[in-house]
Amino acid sequence: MKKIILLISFAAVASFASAQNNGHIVSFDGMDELKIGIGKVELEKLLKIKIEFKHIGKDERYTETINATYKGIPMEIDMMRSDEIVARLDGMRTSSPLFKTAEGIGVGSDQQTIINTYEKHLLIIDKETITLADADNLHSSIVFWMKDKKVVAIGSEPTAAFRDRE
Amino acid sequence: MKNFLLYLGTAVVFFSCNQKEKDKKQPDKKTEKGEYTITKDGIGELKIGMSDAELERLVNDRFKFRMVVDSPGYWQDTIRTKYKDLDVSLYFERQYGNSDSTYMQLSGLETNSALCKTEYGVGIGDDRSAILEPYDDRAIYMGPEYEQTNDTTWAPSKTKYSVNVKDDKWDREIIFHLVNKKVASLGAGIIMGE
Repeated sequence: MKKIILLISFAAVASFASAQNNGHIVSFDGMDELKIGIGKVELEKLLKIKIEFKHIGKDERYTETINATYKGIPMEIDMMRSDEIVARLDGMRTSSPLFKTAEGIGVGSDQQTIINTYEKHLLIIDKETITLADADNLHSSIVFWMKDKKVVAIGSEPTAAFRDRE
Repeated sequence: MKNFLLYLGTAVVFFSCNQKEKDKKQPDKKTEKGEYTITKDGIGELKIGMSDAELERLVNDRFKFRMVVDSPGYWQDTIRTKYKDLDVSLYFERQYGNSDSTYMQLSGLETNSALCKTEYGVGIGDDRSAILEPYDDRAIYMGPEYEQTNDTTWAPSKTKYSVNVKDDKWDREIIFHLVNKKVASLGAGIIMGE
């Protein structure tokens, strides 16, 4: 009986660890393979789509947001015009609970957990978002969109908000 | 009669405790502004934007701006003085007046006096959650303070932390400086660099 309990416990722990490892990670650099700064061609390969812009390269607008799916997960992706590579990835977000930070914060996490988890980081708490800045590069950030003090979407994007800390 | 007094006493103590508990749960309940209340605009009559001459009259002191006198290109200076019973640091910036004359203008201030509190009663010794609770609807900017480790390197402090509560227009703020997770000083000032 003891052995069965031990085996069940082991299976449960292994399954939990596996779920953690297979999760999609949001970092200051981007979300999984979608890294801030990659070009349009590389992004098309990762998303397995052909991106057709409505504005970039067609009118005066420098930025454009596209809707796409990455590994079946709906995403909003910001692109910025770039002279060398047409456009580059400038930010992204999703409301999917499959994406989490390395510390396990994602859709459904609450404000207090974010504050306690990132005590050594710089945070901006606003009415709709909590922005977590990278201590080594304050222009990179992970953004949590909040409703009723709970995360409803998560993303990675550059930020200029911490400029005066540099 | 004795029993009646005993019941009455118990009831008074019970309702008094209950009221204290209710007060704690009402962070939006502002206290009356007093001479030592700190807001984004200053403390009492000490107001951000006042000139050095106005402040000298108010605190009855003569300011000696060392940095600005020693280095003419320097445009900021700090004066430590007393405002009533408070020890305060006054942060000044050089401003240009008429006909090329300059004067010093108060851009920020700070105190570590326990007499000074916000309009919500937050003061020295309080923790971060006490700061955050009443400012639920404001933009808050917080994190470890940066310390210079050598001539060219800055690193996040392990003990010093600050919480900046911005006003609606993001032009002024109240700043709580924490040491070992407790408020050690409070300040107010103009937001710069954003």
